[in-house]
Amino acid sequence: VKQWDSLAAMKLVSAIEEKFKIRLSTKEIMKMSTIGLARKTLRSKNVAV
Amino acid sequence: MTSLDPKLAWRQYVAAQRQQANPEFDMRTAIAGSMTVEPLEPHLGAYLLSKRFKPQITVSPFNQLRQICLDHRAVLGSGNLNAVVLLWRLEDLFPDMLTRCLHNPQALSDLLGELKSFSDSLAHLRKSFNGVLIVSTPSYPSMPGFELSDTGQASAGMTIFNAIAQFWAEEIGRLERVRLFDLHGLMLNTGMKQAHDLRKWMLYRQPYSEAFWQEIGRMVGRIISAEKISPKKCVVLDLDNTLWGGIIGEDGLGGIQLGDDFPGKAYRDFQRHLLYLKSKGVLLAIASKNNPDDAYEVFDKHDAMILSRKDIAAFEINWESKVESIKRVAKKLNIGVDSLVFVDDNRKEIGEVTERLPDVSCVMVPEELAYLPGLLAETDFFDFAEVTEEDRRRTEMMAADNIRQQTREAMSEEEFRKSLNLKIDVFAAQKQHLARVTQLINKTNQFTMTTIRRTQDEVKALANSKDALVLGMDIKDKYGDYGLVGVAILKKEHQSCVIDTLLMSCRVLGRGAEDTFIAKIAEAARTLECDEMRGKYIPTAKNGMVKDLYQRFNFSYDPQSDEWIVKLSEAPKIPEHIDAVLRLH
Repeated sequence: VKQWDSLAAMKLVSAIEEKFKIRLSTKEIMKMSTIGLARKTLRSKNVAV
Repeated sequence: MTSLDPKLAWRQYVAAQRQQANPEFDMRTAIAGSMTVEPLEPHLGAYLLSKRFKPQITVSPFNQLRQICLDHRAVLGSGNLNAVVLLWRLEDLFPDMLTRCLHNPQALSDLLGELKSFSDSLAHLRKSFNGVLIVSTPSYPSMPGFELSDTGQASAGMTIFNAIAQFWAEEIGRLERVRLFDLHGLMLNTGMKQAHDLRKWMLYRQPYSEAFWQEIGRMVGRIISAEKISPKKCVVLDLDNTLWGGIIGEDGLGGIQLGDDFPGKAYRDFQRHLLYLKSKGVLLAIASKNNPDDAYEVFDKHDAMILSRKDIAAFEINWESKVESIKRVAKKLNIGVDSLVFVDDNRKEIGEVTERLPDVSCVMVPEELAYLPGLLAETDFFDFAEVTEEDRRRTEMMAADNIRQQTREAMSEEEFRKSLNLKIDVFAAQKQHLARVTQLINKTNQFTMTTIRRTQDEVKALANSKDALVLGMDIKDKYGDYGLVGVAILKKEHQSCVIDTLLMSCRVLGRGAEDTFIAKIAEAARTLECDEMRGKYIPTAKNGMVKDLYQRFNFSYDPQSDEWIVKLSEAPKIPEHIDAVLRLH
């Protein structure tokens, strides 16, 4: 994606935490490098995605 | 569709602005920090939107503070900015020095030297940037070595921090017109742990929790808003179960709750906060359904009362409706009902006032009395850009007004005017007058021809311009000093002097002050080498009282320019009973 940077990542993480009322650890955040991995991480936290 | 989520409201606003070819903004703000400050944007934006601004917020790249100070246009762009917000932390700017301070006393003076140079660059920015400049205070460092969890000894970090904070306060205190944002205080209020999000600090150099960004957004928003929005002027208070517990008419002096034990303590602390508000220039008034003698007895005789009768600018103790009492308070104090805050414990009274006087801000005594003392502290009702001498003396000035009023009733209008020995001083506003002049410009609603609001920096620029004059008017009489109560801004356009702003506090009307002010304005216009004056009347919902002012003073209306014009030779004369001077230098 064009213009993707750490700032965008930070905003996305904040939005996910807010939306699903969960708290991600730094390890989980680091793991979420693709949509698939993000979905997997979120499912492991009982979020239906 | 409007959303309840403030951040969403901001995003929708930004998206809507993008659709427009030439969006208009009235609060262009840049934020910059020694850390990542992007999360502030939606919170600050949402707050400013809620105050009816049309904000534009730009976030400057991470850690460009020095560059901004040296050349703000190069970093923030050359567009007209209304406000710049700089957030910085010791642990971002001087991490190694801070660590050294823990072991080596010499390191502290090195660090203070660095701070001095930082404050010098802020002084440079202050000179080159004309808008509102907001800078955060040093906050307690969140870094190893500065933990606050050691047992049994005072933290070395705290000693170092205190020295730094004190040094900074002195340095920044030297700079004029820098608005301080107390980041450290806000962090104490929130709690170090609640304020920080260590995960985001590690990953993104973004130190704070979302909740703390929201607090920062609100506080910075309040500081920006205070530049243009006038604070409330008066708290109208109920008595029973508001200033004390119980009902004086039934429980008697010994039976009401007020003192060092709960619930009396909650009421007493609330009174302490009210006294603090009074010291900032907020008027206190009473609207209570009671027998006046019962109520006054508490003020005069109860040992635990913090407020005394002289702290109250207006009493309305009777059996009439609160709506009537509140209207009378506004009339007595000569202020609009929209500058009143009404506090009561009775839901029905609050409901009635809300319905019949929707401009009054109503606050209910909380169910949980422990929160009563902080009830008004958490609001933005009394956000003053600056507290002026006139504010501090306001209640005393009101007392002098009451004596005037009584004297007036005892004699004819003519005799009364002569007996006042009115002295009016009109002068070009100097540095020390700018805070008060700006305050009047932003809060006068009734006796004002154009109601053009301005920040202090804008006023200062006009005062320094050679084609404009910012005039202040001071009034005294034998009962006391009103202080600075009138402002005019004149702009020279060819041979004509444009009255851009003309306003007065309503308290001084009707004694020849208007005539004198306009006569002196004409005199000042002559020194600008003009031969006529012209001015507009811009109607608002509240300034109907000056609709015919120019007509009264023989200005003639020019429908083409929608202006009122008068030759200087035909300007009004100063009434005989008034002793007036004009000082332009």
